[in-house]
Amino acid sequence: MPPAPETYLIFKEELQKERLEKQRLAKAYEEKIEELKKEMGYLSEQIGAQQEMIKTTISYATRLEEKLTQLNHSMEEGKKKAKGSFH
Amino acid sequence: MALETTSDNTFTIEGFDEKLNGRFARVYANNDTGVIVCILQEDYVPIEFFKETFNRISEVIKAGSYQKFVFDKRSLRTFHQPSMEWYFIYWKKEMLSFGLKEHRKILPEIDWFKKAVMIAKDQLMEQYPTNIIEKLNIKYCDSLEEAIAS
Repeated sequence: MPPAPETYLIFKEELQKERLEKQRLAKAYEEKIEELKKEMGYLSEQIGAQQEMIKTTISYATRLEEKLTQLNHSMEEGKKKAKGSFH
Repeated sequence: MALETTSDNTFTIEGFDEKLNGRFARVYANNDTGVIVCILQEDYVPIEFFKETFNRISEVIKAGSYQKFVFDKRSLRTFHQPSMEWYFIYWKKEMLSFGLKEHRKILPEIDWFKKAVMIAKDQLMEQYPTNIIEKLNIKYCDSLEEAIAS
């Protein structure tokens, strides 16, 4: 059997190089995607934490509002009682 | 005490050894003065890194003799309530048994953030009335220098 032409050997070597490069790029791409997924996970956790902060703050403000309303009510009652008093 | 910025934009604290230099936090310790410093680096620290950082700090504390912990949270813009709960209820209590009873905190100069921290703290105190806060010496400071010295 005659030896393979040189161009064929060069082509075969180039093909092998390209295969390896393709594998390297695929691996790098997968790693990048994994990294992005992790970062997305952190961002998602951060958004959840921000929502929780807002929820907690609004609950606190609502409780304060209720207390203020009660206080106003008590003051109004106090004034009415004072007006109706003979003292 | 002096803070020195290095060429890679990090810094060293005179007399302190660097114990951790990560994306989310840097930790420095001075066993002679019994002070350990944690400086957060990002606006948010995911819970896995938060616990990892504090577990590293625990190792340093257990291997030495530390009384004061300085927690610089100036980079934070979001805090994670479960992380804070773990830090407040579990970590501080465990570290108290190793002698760490002085806590110095540095918050960002942002009023809404400070208020949010206080609200979250109130909530924790309500949830865990039998906490160890009475046994701790806690102070809020404006700078690392003040926190380390006070």
